[in-house]
Amino acid sequence: MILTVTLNPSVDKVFEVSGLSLGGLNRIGNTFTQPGGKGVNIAFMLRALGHEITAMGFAGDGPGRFIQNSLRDAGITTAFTLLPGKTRTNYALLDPQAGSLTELLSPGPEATPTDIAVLRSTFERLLGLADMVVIAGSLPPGVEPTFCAELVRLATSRGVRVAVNVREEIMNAALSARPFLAEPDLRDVTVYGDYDLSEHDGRLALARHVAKSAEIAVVNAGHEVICVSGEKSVSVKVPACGLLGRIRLDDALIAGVIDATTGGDVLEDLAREGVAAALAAASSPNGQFTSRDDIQSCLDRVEVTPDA
Amino acid sequence: MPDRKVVDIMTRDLTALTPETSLQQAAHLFSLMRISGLPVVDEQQRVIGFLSEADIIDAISPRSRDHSGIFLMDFGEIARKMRSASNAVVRDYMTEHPITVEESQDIGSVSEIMLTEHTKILPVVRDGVLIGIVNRADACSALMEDHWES
Repeated sequence: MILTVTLNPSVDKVFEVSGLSLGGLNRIGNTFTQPGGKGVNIAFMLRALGHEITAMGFAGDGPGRFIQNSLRDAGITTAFTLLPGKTRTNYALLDPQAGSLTELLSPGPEATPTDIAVLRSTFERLLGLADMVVIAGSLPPGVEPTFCAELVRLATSRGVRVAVNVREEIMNAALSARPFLAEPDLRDVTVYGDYDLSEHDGRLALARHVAKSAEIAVVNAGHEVICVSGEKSVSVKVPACGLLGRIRLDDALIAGVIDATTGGDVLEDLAREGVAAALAAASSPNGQFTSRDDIQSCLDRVEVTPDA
Repeated sequence: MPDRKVVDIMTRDLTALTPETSLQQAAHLFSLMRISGLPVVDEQQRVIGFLSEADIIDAISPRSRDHSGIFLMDFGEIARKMRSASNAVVRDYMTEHPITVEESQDIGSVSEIMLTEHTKILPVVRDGVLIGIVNRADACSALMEDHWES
């Protein structure tokens, strides 16, 4: 069983607004609403690949119930710790005319020390059933980055592999607990610590830095993905994706890499499946692939290059 | 859809208590989840107990009966129960060896259990390990649907 941990899930509302005008009158075209948050997205996609998934994390009222019901409808077992506030709603505005994607992200309901204790207890309980843990996404108010590291440590101490896909501050804490797979969330980031992400060399240096603390490091800069394990590194140029594809590309990428790790650990294969999964998600109507066939059909578009 | 089984209506949720969970934390969960009870599991996720909201009420309710069966407030008892409940854990108040059902059981038999045992929630297990819960509202809905269809 793969246990996904989403500490700050969301309901994502996506609106298509052609010629978006800030301060002006805008008319909405297509719109859809779906459960979100990195860990939740990854849970759906791993489930689509046939994995047995238990999704946990914090969930508030209202939208939080929608998220849990949607997960269960997809055959995913849930074990969320409920919070008194409402789960956040995030908004994405797609402007096909300008080719832009505008995202508005809410902070989410606050978790108290009692809530955190309940979640920790649930996590420890479910670790006994888990083959792998995935911790992904932001933290709600009240939760410190060190808590993420604590979860990684609890899992690794029991021999359970952990994949983390989080932002810099949380990643730095998580790396201290030596996860199996680490992908920094680089959305809207051009500089990460001392690494300039505008250049290939900067991205490769970051991946090598992460790989000092994780068995596999993945760096996704949108148009290029770099995977490093030990001394070995590979790069993949990612073909251009549509607007919608940008929203969940990162989540699909790590879902693909995680899926590939269950079949082996050849770095080229992990990179190839990860990027194929991202491409498959990018070409789907809601930004998520729905079957293994979707990924298979994208594999021939992925060219993996070993780094010198 | 006649002959439906538990697997068709169960809620795939593993929210559960451990014997060491504080009663206060359990009450907090019941309130947030708007649920009347939760299974209690061991480290292997085997169901070893069940805690209902009635158990919590029993733990903290300041009451006693007089000879005619009328509940009387006893302020000494109130203070004692409040003190003991604040340190209480689920193990002290749960029902041990609770009734569980399996996913292959038909809904009619499960509804019968709910009626005779006056319970709203039953843990669903596979080889003793918790895999979800089935609640009375879902069982009732399924029975009614089957009835109208037939």
